[in-house]
Amino acid sequence: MLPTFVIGLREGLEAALIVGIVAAFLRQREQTKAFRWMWIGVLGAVVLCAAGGIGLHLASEQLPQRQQEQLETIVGLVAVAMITWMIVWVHNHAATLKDDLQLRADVALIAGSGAALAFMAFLAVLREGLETAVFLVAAFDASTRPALTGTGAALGVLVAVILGYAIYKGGVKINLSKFFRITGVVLVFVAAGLLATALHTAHEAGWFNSLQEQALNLEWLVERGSVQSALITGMFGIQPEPTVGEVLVWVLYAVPMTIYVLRPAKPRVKATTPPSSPSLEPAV
Amino acid sequence: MRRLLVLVVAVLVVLGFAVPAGAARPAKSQTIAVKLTPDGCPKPIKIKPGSVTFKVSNDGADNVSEFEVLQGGKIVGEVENIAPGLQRSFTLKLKAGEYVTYCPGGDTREKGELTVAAAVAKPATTTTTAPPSG
Repeated sequence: MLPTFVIGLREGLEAALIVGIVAAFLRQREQTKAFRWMWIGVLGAVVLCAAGGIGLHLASEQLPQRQQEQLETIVGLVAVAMITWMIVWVHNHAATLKDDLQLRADVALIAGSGAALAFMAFLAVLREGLETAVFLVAAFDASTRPALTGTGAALGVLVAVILGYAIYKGGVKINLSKFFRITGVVLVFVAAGLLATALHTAHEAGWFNSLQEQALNLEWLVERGSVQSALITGMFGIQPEPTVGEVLVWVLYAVPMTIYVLRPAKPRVKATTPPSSPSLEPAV
Repeated sequence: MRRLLVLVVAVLVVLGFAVPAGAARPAKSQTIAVKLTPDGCPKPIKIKPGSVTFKVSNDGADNVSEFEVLQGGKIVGEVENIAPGLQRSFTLKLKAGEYVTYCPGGDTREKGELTVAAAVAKPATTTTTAPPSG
């Protein structure tokens, strides 16, 4: 039961996390229309994936793994671009919150990007959903104790959804200025993890085959088959044995972006954070 | 931004769904049963060139849940999320040559050998079957 729970949790979290972040962001921006579209998109993606998973099973077809990884890579990169845009937006607005004119200009700008963000949530669910559906079907079809194995997998996905909802709730509860300050740094690490994961899936898709030597051994932190590993890999994209390429893109993204986020938005705003950040070391 | 998204969707649809899923498999195909163990990959596998279906199952290895076939550092094919009790298959067309099997997390045999050769002396692990049943 536990092994399938862990996999369900990890696969589910990768989607639930992005949806939770997008939902909180849209809610904070009071984009109710885009918010509603987001939920329609998410539900639509869930239905599509469930139908796909069951359909593949009924037709005794295999999930085209390579195309699945290609899809994960593209959506992953789009998600990195979008989260980066959110980081920049949040960063710029932490300082100019009270600027009404600026805010009004944003509303016009956001009207388009709100829809784009809602669409991002749809893609995020589609990205992990099909593979998760195939996994769920396989779990309920297990050779030994299928009911228990399947229940474990389903529970894992369910807990992931609850965590995604908690991220959304937490993101809405805290007040706007705190939301801006906290989310910046967290989002940098989420995006850096997504970028490393995109490189990982790009390798599995057959697109990227360089720099595949193992760079670090993080198995002590990301112990395979543990709930902890599902949380760390699912939310921050950290693999047990990251390759040189994965560590490289992680550092190249995380370091400058962390500096950018911690740097005050405007020179005259007093710096509340010390310039040296403990988060510059890669995933230790 | 919107135009970019439309483009992405178009790409996704083409990649993800217009897949020639198992188009016209040859009638004669080999099926290899691959059992993941806590040690990792199976012992060296020898098969003939052509279409081969890997039926990957997990007999109780909590630390291994993935099976990959690589050649020269490139992934030729793989399945993921094979938790204990689960089984998933994938079919590849392999040319003669030396391949590597990779089972991330395995204790002693994280990597194994896969030889594809025309004249295999004793294909012990090979069975010739009708078209694979997934």
